[in-house]
Amino acid sequence: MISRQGISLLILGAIHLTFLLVLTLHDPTSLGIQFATLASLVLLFIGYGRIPRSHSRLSAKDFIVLSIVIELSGILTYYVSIDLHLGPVIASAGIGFIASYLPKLAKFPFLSSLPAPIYCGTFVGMCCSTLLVKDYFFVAYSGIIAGLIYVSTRNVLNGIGGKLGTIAFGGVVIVAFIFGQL
Amino acid sequence: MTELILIFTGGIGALLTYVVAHDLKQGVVSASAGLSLLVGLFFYAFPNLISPRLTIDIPLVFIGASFVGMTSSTLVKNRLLILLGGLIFSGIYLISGEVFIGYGGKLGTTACISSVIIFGLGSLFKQVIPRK
Repeated sequence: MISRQGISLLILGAIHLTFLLVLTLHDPTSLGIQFATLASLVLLFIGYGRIPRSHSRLSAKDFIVLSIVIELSGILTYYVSIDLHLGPVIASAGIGFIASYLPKLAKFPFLSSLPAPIYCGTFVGMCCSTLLVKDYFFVAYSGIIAGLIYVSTRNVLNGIGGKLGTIAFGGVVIVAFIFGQL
Repeated sequence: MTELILIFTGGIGALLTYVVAHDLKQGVVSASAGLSLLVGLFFYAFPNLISPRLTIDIPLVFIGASFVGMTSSTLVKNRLLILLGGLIFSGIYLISGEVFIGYGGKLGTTACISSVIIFGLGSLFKQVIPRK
């Protein structure tokens, strides 16, 4: 029987696998890319198996709160990036930087837990309007799915750089698939 | 030359974030976002300093590589591995080209794959702390 953490790891692994598969299929004639993908897959499986896992549990309430936080930060990032013409890097980094100081405002446990989901939401909002996103609803839906993935994968790949981006990517790709934009 | 600059940017972005987050104890989100904000603002203020491609790509590569530098110091202690992770990130970024362009989280996914790869490499060479 697959454990809860096994399922969580499968979700993130599936996102990575999808990314690498599409990357390989994009240029199937390149031996370099195929070799790099194969080497990456071997090292990914070694890494997945050895990264420590935690046992924290999150409730349905956590999912709702985190989804709203991720969704709102995604929408705000999208607004700053597209409507204020500041670009995705300044929007994401600026909002993430401000969020990183929230725990210093007051010693509430809730505030201390906010920087990571807010930073995750900013990655959802980094979508480029000219290529993919037609409106704010796309970002909002992606934020909800990313919130679900965030809660589901709480116990795995902790401390690995880029996990938040993988969660955001998962949300965006699933919503793009539903909207037929893949 | 452009590719070399971007690969170098990736290495520096990851290493600098790791040092600011762990050695200077600024926290991972603050280090990644703060440094990326500085780089982003610099190229926003001086858009004609270098070629248009580098002006767009350097901030993107830097923020993406900074995610690799967010890796916990309890998982990867060796700074050379972090540097390598940044270089791997840049390599995948350059290979990926048009794939998933415009998709939020693409940089983070690339960074996560790079981070797991360096963790896997570190495990192989016994350079990481073993699982408790």
